[in-house]
Amino acid sequence: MMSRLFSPISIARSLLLAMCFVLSTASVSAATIKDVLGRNVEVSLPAKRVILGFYAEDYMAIGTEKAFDNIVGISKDTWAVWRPASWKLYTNYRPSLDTIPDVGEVESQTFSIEKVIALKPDLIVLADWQYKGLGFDADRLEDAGIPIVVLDYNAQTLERHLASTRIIGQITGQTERAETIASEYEHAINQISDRIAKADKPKPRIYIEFGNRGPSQHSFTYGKNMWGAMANVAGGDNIAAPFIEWWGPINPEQVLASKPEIIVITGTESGKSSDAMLMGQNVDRADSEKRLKAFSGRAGWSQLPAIKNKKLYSAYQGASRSITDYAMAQYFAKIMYPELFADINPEQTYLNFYKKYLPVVPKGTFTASAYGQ
Amino acid sequence: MLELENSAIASALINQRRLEGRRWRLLMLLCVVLLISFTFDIVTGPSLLPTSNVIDVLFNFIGLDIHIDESTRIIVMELRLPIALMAVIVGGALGVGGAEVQTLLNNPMASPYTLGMAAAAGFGAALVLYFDGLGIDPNYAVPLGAFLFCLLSSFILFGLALINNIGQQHLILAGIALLFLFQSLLSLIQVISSPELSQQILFWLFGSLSKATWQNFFITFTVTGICLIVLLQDAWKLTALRLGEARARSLGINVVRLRLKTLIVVTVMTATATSFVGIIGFIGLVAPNIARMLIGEDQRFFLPLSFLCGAVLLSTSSILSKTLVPGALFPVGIVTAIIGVPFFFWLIVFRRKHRA
Repeated sequence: MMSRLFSPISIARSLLLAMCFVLSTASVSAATIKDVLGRNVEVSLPAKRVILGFYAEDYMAIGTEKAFDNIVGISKDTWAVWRPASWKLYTNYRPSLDTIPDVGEVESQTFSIEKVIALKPDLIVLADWQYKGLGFDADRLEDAGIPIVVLDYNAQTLERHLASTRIIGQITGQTERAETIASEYEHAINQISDRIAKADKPKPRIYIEFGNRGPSQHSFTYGKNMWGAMANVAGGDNIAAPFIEWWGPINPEQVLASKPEIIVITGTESGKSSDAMLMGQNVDRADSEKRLKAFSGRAGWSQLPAIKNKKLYSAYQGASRSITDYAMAQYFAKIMYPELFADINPEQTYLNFYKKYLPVVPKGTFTASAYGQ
Repeated sequence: MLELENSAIASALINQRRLEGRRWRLLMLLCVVLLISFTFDIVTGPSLLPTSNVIDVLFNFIGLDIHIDESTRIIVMELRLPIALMAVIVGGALGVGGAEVQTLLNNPMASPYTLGMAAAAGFGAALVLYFDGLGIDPNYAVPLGAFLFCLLSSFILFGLALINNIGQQHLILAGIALLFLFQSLLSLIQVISSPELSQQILFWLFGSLSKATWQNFFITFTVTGICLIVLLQDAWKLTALRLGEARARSLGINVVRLRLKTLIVVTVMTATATSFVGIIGFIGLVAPNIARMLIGEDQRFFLPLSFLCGAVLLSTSSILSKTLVPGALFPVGIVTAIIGVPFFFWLIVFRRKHRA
């Protein structure tokens, strides 16, 4: 018996078996991804059936268009309803996007755990706000054996932007491309902070408002994240920071009292029929400028330093909470420190990202000034 | 003379038995409707699974050797079945809760909702969410907070109910005052919390059966079952109460004791249901009224029928919330009112004609 166990044939056979075992585990490759919440998520890579909750444009930029061959479900409203112009642009280019099953939307409570499970995904990719919004339901998915990886571009921090980008790279098998995009982002942000630090000037007071309600009504401003965080990155002193935790309306009186030196009204493509701020795809620049100028007529605003010095600007709401948003960080830096960033054209940066990494390039107005600067 | 009396009693008895027979048949009919509705609830869903798959899973569950897909098993056994069962139990609990509050207060417009119990539960949930679960897993802390505050608001009512010279009218007024108080407190929390948090609070306030699991179904089932037994034991006393508190007293019923006991039972039942599925306000008001129109005040029938009406209402709402737009899902709390109100109006109008 002993001799047979150690015979050359049996050794060869066991070696072969061991090799087979190693090879098979390598092709299925159970990997661990550390998501932005610091959780170690076990996934099998490459993921062949992925459900994508948010950040579709980033997923395509980093994972390439081919990554969408493996997407078996999306939260459709976050793209088709929240950003209809972008949805139209992409579905015109790739009509199959419209046939990807919809798993519902978290905020409107239509997100369906049942649909997710029925799609038999290997992996679900969710935004931090979706993961938190699902709460107990997210635990259910994990209990059902479906790993969840959490991304977060909404926090608008360099750390989470880079981490989210690299995670998409891992999931889609595009680690090199992800690294390139991440380092370009990091470089652009560092360039901004380096130049501002070197110049050592007083921080201008900035007020940002989502212009979806037009000049007649005050809408949301931002505290710690999104545009608030971006104003910080670009060396601004956000007047809303002491009063608004995340986002919400600020008392109009407080805006007058804080005397902002720069005002940015952001806009989207929707609200053509009202006097809302219009920005984005297929939006005419003259129309944007006219609508933006109307905001200077708000009660008491003519006395604000920002209006007196003609520092009233607009940015595209859709260009935030994304890996493309360093263009907007550049824009914020440029309007606050024009002399430091004369060589940078933020709108061109934005379009260049599309040309380089995405199959479509939007046309329209993405940054604007009320006084044509 | 004696014969005449006897024949009068006999005919009254025959009449009563016939009435009771009709009531039994009505209860059976509602049971069948509920069973059909429950079956549809399991068969329908946003993933649009074929019915045969669902049946396979159920057969597999009872021990037949049928091969089933794991994800299909999870959908049917872990999602649809607890949700469908929860719809029946919660709908029933809310229906019975409403029925007893209406009996107690001698007012068809009363319900646990109008007495502020739901608002208090909502405030409790919001408070726990605001303080981030107070260090406990929010999956348990939030229902617990809702439960405790529901009890708290009822204790204030208990206190009032204990006082002998406080009548039913005053109890209703006090309940409505509590409703406003807790709603204001709830708004206060929503104002001071971040938009993300206030969104979460809003989610909770929208009644949703999707929070159902086997665990919280069994808790709700046990609590509701015990409460129902306790209430049925008092069926005669509660029926007498509908003749007016003074008459009930003259029949030897300790009204204050009955009031307190029933309130406690209703509170525990409502608080348990609400803490797991959020606020579904409409059923507690309408289910008992439908039951009363169909069957009258005899608590032996009124109580079970209120349960069945509530269960059927919530179960059918659950189906409709899934099938109105195939593949999408509406919060069930919204659907109950939208389908329930027209039905209720129809019933009111129909009954008017019937009487005239």
